[in-house]
Order: sequence, then structure tokens, then C-alpha cells
Amino acid sequence: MNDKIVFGQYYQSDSWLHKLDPRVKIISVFSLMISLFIIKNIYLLLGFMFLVLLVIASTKIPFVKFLNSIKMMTFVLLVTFVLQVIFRRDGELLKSFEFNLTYMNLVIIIVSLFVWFLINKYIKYFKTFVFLVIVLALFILQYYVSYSPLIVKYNINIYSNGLIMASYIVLRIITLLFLSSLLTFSTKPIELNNGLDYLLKPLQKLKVKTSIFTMMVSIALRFIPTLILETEKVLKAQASRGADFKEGKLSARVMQIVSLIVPMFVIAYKRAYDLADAMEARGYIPEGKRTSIYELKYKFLDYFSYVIVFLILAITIFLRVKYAL
Amino acid sequence: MSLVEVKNVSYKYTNRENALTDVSFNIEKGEFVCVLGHNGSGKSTLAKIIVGLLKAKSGEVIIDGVTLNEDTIDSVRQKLGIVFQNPDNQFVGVTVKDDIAFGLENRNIERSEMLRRIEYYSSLVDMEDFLDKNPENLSGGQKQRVAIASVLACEGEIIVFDEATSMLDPKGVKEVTNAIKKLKGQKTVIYITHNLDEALFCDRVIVLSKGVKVLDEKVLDAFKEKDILKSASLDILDSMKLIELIEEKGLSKGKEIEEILWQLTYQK
Amino acid sequence: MAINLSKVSFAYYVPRKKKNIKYAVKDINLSIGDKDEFITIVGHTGSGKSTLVQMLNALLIPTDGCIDISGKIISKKNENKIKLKEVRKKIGLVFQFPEYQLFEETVLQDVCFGPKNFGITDVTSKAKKALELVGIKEDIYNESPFSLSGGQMRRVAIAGILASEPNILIFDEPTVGLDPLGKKELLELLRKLNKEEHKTIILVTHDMEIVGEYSKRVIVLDNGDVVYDGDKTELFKNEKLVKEHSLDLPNNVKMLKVIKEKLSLDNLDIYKYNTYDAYDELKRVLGGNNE
Repeated sequence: MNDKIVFGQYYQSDSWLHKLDPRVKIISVFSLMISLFIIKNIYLLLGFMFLVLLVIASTKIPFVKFLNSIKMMTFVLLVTFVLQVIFRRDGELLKSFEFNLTYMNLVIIIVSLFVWFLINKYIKYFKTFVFLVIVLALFILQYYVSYSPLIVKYNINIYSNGLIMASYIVLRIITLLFLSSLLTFSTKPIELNNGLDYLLKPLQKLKVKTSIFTMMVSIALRFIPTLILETEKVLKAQASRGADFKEGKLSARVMQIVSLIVPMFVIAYKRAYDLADAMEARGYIPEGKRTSIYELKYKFLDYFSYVIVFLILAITIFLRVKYAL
Repeated sequence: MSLVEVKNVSYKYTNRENALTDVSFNIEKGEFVCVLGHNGSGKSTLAKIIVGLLKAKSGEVIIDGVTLNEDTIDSVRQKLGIVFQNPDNQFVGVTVKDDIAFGLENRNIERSEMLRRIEYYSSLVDMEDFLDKNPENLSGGQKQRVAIASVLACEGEIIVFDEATSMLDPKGVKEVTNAIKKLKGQKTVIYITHNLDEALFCDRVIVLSKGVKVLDEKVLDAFKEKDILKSASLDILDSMKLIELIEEKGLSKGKEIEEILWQLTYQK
Repeated sequence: MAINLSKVSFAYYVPRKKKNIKYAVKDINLSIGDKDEFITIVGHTGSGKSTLVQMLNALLIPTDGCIDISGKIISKKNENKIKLKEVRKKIGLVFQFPEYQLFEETVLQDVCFGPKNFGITDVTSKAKKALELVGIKEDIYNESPFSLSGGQMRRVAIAGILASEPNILIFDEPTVGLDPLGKKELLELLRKLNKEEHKTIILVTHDMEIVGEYSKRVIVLDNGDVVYDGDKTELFKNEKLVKEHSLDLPNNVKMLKVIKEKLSLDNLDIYKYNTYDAYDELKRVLGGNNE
């Protein structure tokens, strides 16, 4: 059962992206994100997105995984889109919808939302989707049905620029999510940490203790899975003493949460204490000089990637400055 | 001059009774010494004092002629290694390879030398196929073997095992003790435990009871000291128990049976 | 019979294609009484012991098959209808290193946690009775559980389970990390609970000495299957089975076996589990008290 706990989102594969130096990946993702925010033109953005999709296709990571990373943001994306469409009022008027808010419609709206509020916790799948269908149905209702006295009549106008702007923003967020997913899917957390360790080294000249920071991250990475397992154990131990983390009165529930938190602190403290001993016994000196088993060396592909990425950055800056694209 | 000299060491945790009182002994190079004691006998405290994680309140520890103190500890530590009880809490690296490398990185060993030592010592404890595994996917016995490899990789002379097998299943215990047995003749080992039958592969036994050294004998002689072992709240071997009963109550062919039981004990 | 398992299987992860499912335990049939039994469950790490005992406590719900706990059926089908508390009140489960479940300000309060959750009346007196059973003296009832020694902490944690007065007590490797004396004290406590309080004790262990000296019935698990369920001596006599599942014989049995061979004592019964019985058996066969 233990091998199910995978920390981070790393996806095992042997693609070129996986083999890339973590430093290259970190810097590339950052500079591509900058490019992404510089681009103003939607066609350019589509081109950029196409490039990202090409990279995704070449990595052998299933596309579903990328879609999953957007899934959590679906609601936010949709709301952003709708708000943009409704409230941008420049460019050409494409279509105007007239809605009738009547007394009956209002009652139906309130009742449906109330029912939604009551039943939504029983819906397991496609919750957001169901909600959106309901909202859409309510608008359709107002569009077609005008029975019973009218309260107010209102229009929703869709302009060309609103549509473009909305797509632009949504596409930009999606591309951003794809980019960061590319980094986390193809790089183990510990590799990321090693990359950061190297990248932050120049800061040491300014007396910033970057090695302590990266050591802390690496220990956290090491112990998070262990503590997750430990939490599960304590949870079960208290459950078999009748603790019920789902139901019961508020005061009882508070006690049950305490029954979980206190042991976790005790365990974490004991582990930390033991670990400190183990590290000291193996000669760790917090600010001392250390060599590293990870040797990061740039290869041809790394240099090549740098060139491409910086070229993209330069082109986007150029286009923006010169042509305001 | 002995390799390890423990001289009149005492230790006291705040608000507790003395954990160690005036403990002295010497350990020669290449010796396997078992330190036996019940829970709370001070044996783990002793281990931490020997490897310099705790400072004795009085008395001194001399390793290879150098007295342990704040100034010497960093250099003396090169000669010392310790494997603790809990397999999880001493696993510093994210993978087996990282963990073995940790001590070497601290000692500023060159990367090529690190890789060589990782390969060599991981195969010594039969963990060479697990170098990229995370600790969550290893058994307790495997994790302890990694801990042994990590200590061996630093190439110190003295290795302390502080109840290194007490949290393992029988299979794990066997794996770990087999790995330790391989060190005979190469390293000096201080093996701390509360199980008498684990003392069998050591040369000498030191028994602690309530922080006081009550016995320091060759292994087989130590087994005969039933009264001292019992008063130190330790279990004596089942074979010794039977011999004791036979001697006490008598049995025909008793001598023959005692002989057989002794042989059994030796064989282990 | 209090607990009945019929065709119980459990998988931690059910893949879309049911063919690829990896069961932690599979097709287990067992009956366990709610009085006077002393059962040990042995098997290697990963043989499914922990999974099995967690199902007995309804911490895990069987993927297939069902468990009948005094009339309450636990199965995937009625997962949402099971009154977990009623099951857990009757069957106490003591995890490995139970001292890590302590959290209250005082020893007594901590022991009260379980019975309070189960809605038992008379909580304090039950807690005090449980503490007395495990040998914790009254003068530390109001101390913090974290100020106690390791052995005491473990006993307090066990009292925390006993206080809810379960009929069946399950212990998952309770002696790990204890020294010989602590181990003996704990096992004697379990024996007392079995003999005097008539509790059914189920003990998961690797230690064949415990199997020999304390239990009557042994369940051997290997790779998720129950490969033996019955009397311990019958198990030790079955050399093939012992070897096949790489089990060990208890020390006294091993010694008597060698003595039997070397002295060719054909009628020596080697299945004796403590020194006194072993000696008596030798005396019965060899006789005499002269040298």
C-alpha cells in the first residue's frame, strides 16, 4: 500500500524533457512565462500555445494529466470568460440577448438555487458542470418564458472585442498552467531542489544561507510521505477509539481534531530530534562546506534549449516594442 | 593504548536520576563488544556519549588517543559511525543513493570517489539494486542496511549499533545481523541491545543496569552469570534456563544433555 | 460465534480493469469467538496481517465478501449503513506503538477518551478499572501521559482501549521495542485479560515464542491467504508447512528436538513451550534425579 503515496506530480518517462538539466527547466519556464505575459496579440498567443502543445506532445506524458491540472481551474476560467464577455463593450456588436425577469422566473431561480444548496453535497461527479447547466437553464428560461408580471427586462450584449479578450485571457491562463505542469511533471521535487541549490549559489556571496534553505526543502521532501503515513496511522488509532471525524457535536469534533494534532506533533518532534542526531553523527555542519552527489553539467541539448527559449523571449519583446503585438 | 577508552563516565538528564554512573571500559581494535541492558539502563546514553552527541557530565572518552571534546569532535567523528534504532528517522536522503552520499558530502569527498564508495558499500550490504528507491518503498531491514552502508561509506574504524534491530521483524533482524557479521576482523563494533541471544556473535559482553556497569566478560562466560543477568532485568537464554533447572533438580543423563545444550549455544 | 468472515478479500486500490487487481488478502473464511480465545496471527511482513485486523475493526471495508460481527454485516454494499462505533466498541484494536495515540492532559482523561466517544456511562470508574488492570497506580492518574516512561505510556494506551470494555482485543505486534521484562509483563497482562476477564485476544506477532507459550490457536497468513488455522502444536508438527512458510520453531521445541535425536528418545514429546514443561517431560522420559 505504501507505494501508492507519490509526493509531487512527477511522471516517470525518459523523454528529452526529463533528461534536461533542472536549472534549464526552471529558467526556461520562468522566461517563457515572461514571454507569455508580454504577448498581446491573440494570434501570437495561439502560436505560442501551439509551441507549448508541441512540447507536450513530444514528452510522452499523457495529455489527460495536463487536462487534469486545468480541471481544478475550470470554474475560475469559465467565470472569467463570462465576465469578460458580458462586460467588455468595445468593438463590433455581435449579438444582443433580451432576458425577462418576471416574478415567476424569480421564484424559480430562487427555488433552484436553494435546492442546489441543499443537494450539492450529494453530487459526487461533475459538480461544477451540473451547476453550470442549471445556471444556463435559468437564463434560457428567462430568454423564452415571459409568463406572469415582469419585474425588469435586461440585455446582455456580446461584442467582438469582449469575445477576443475573454478567449485571450483564458488561453493565457491555460498556457500558464501547461507550462508549470511541464516543469512539475518532468522534474522530481528533489531535482528541482538541486537545480535551485545551484541557481541560488551566487546569493551565497551576499551571505544569504541558500544551502540551509535547500537542505530544509530536501528534508521536507524526504519526510512528507512519512508523515502522511503517520497521520493515517494516528487517524486509524483514534478512529478505533471511537473518534468520528465526520459527525458529532462541535465540541466533540474539536476534541477529535486535537486527538489527531497532538500525537502528530509528538511524532514529528521525536523524528526531528532523532534526525538531528543522525545528521550530526554523520558529520553535518549546518553552514559548513559540502560537496554534492548531484553534479549538474550542461550538455548540448541544455544549451540548445537556452538558445531557443531566449530567442522566443527576445522575439516577443521585439514584437511588443516595435509593433505592439 | 586501546582504540576506545571510556573513563569514569557519568551522565544525568535534568530532573532525572543518574543515567550513567562511573562507567569505565576499554575496547581494542577489531573487537566486537555487546552492551546489554534493560530499557532505561543508560545504554543508549552511553552510545551517544561515545559518538559525541552528548557530553559526559564527568569522566572522558578517548578515541584512538584523542580525548573527545568540542574542539576534537569534528576530526574524531571521521573515525566513528552510529546506526540508530528507528530505520525511518535516520534516513536523511530522498533515495538510497542520496542517503549513503549524505555523510560523504559532509566530509567533502570528491564526486567520483563518492560514486565508487556508494557502489562498493551498497553491494556489501546487498542493496545495490535499490539505489534509486525511496525509503517509503523499503522494508525496515533494508533501511537499516542502508544505514549501515552509509556509515561504512565514511570508512571510520568504529561502528556503534544502538538497538539497530529492535524494530525489525525476524527476517530484517537476520538481514542486518548478517551484514554486521561481515564486518568481523575489519571494524570495531559496539553492539547495543537488550536481547541476550543477539550477543552471541560478539566477543565480549558489558552489562549495564541502572546506569552502572555490572558485568564485563567474554560472551560464553557472561551467559553463565545468571544471577547478574537476572538482577539486571535481562532474560537468560532458554538453553541456560534448562541447564539451571537440570542442575537444580537433577536428571539422569543430565550431564549429557547439558553438553548438547552448550553445543547448541556455541553453534549459534 | 462473534465474528464470521466469509470469502473476504481486500485490495487497497481497485483498478479500472478488475483483472489487474492486487489483493492484500483474498478469500478469507474465519470464525472467531467473542470469549476466551487466544489467537496468534503470524506471517511475514506484507502477508496481509495488518489488513486483516483492520477489517475486523471496520477501519477497512472488505472489497469483496462480508464480515458478520455479532449480527452486524460489514460489506461494500452497506458501507454507508454500518454503525462503525458499535463495531469498534465491541472490538478493541491496539496498534503498534500505541503510545503515539496519547494526547490528553492527564492519564485519566486520555483513558476516558474512548468510552466517552462510544457514549458509555460511568466513564471515570471504567477508566480507573482499566488503569488498575494494566497496573498503573493511582498517584499518576493526574500526571501528563508524556511524562511517563515508554513502558508506562504503552500500558496507559492499552488501558484507553480496555476502558470501553470490548469483548475482543486485537493487538498488532504489541511487544516491539520492549525489553525482555517489559515484554513479559505485557504478555502476562494479556494472559490475565484472557483468563480472568474472558476476553478473546487476537495477537499479531512474528515471535514464535509468544505463539508457543501463550496462544492456543494460530492463524498463518502468507501472501494474503490463510494457509493454516488451528492448534499450535499441530502446526509445529507439520514440518512441511513450517518449512514452506519459513516459520521458526520455539526455542524449547528446537532444543528438545535435538536432545530427542541425539539421545534417541523415541517417546519424548518435544512440543513443550516453557522450560519447566520441557524439564518435566525430560524427567518423565529419562527419570531419576541422579547424575
